[in-house]
Amino acid sequence: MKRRAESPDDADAAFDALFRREFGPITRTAYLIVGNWEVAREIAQDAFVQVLRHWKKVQEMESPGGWVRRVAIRDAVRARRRDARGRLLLRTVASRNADEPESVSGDVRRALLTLPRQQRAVIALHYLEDRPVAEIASLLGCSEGTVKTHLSRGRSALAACLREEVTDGPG
Amino acid sequence: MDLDERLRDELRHAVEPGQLREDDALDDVRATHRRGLVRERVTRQTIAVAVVVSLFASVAIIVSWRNAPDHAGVAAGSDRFSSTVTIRVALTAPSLSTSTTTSRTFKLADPRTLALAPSTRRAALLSVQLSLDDPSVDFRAALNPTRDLLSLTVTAPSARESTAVTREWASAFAKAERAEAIQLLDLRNRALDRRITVLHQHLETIDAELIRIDPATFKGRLGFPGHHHMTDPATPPLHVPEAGSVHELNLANERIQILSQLADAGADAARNQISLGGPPISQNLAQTRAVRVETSSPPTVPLLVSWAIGLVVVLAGAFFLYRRRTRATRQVAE
Repeated sequence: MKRRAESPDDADAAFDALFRREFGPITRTAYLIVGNWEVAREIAQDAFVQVLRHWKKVQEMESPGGWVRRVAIRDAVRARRRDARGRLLLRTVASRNADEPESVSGDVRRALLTLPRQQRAVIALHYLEDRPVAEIASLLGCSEGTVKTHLSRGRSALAACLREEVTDGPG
Repeated sequence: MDLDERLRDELRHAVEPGQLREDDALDDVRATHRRGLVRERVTRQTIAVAVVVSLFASVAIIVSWRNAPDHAGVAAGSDRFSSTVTIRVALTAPSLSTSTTTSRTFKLADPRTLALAPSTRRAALLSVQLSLDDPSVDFRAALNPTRDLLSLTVTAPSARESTAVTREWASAFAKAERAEAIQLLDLRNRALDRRITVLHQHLETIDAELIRIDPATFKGRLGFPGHHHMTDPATPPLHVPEAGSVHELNLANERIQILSQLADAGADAARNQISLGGPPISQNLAQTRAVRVETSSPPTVPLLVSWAIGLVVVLAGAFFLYRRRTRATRQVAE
């Protein structure tokens, strides 16, 4: 069922609703991928800027939230361009974040940051957002087998860091 | 607690303290979007202006190129032909002979200047019924190192025109050179007439003085051939009296010198008259057939190429911006 905003006010209201519904989860997932709140916020904001730019097309889609999440996660996983900016941001906001509490518990945070970004994205989507493997594959633009592989390897790596025995595989 | 549950709890706990600041983020998103719209509009307008200006510039370049006199033939897509005539020009060394049977030589103006004079070129163009302001006909004149051979080259859009204009140019040059020589001779004859008149007047004065001083010796024996004082052409030549006064002797010697100068002036006048009916001053040696000439690329061609490259760059930039704008949508739609 395609939706269409009938007036600019309706379009603004629809965008606001989409933003308030999806910005938080997308930022949190991006944070688990990139490991920095400021960069994650920037990635999520850029994704929503893309939504605004292509709003006429996006609002006709079945799931605008899926579209913006896909843009944000792909941007976070690639993040080549943001690496340089992220390092700069890390330096500039280091003092600001120094007083904030440790966001991720030490062991999980360190373990997560050792994984490749693709695996971080799979772990975040699976454990944080409870997405099934098929949806994760659709979001990341890869096959379900690839998602399962990433999930298995990421889980093993995290288990090793947490010194827990890997039992049943997820998914 | 198994690993999956622990990971789920840990990760959800990890993102709880995150400060999302949704209102600020929403304002940032809208501001960024507005800036992007402005930037896109400015970029679009800049590209449109660049394309329009480029088109106008190209039209101006092409029009000016076609109207340029040097490129008129090239613009019309026609070939150019060149023909050359070689002329032996007048000798400039003065003649050492004093014989009255030889013609006088003249030091005329620079042959190149005379050949390239507007009147000479116009005469050549008129002879072949071409427009006097025809920009497609190019005249060039050159002297060899010894300055005795003059090359007249005409470049025209057709071989026939080139040959005809070259031939007529050589003819016009010869006429101009002869006219200049006649004018020079006329000036010399006038100067010679004035000189002879002065000498005659001086001679009459001296004769009158000699007759007054020594009538027994000089009366009835003085005068110049043809002069009214010369009563008898068969009269023997006058001898200067050895017993005369110094003044008388001086006058007699001066009279002899004037007679000698009058004889030289007569020889000059004779040579001038011979020169008027003498052979041509310059002489046509040969004329080449009209040959096709290579036309060099006009300077506007690189300009047009540069303009075309610039236009392609501008259009490529516009296309790149369009692709960039729609890339995100297409990637997700795949």
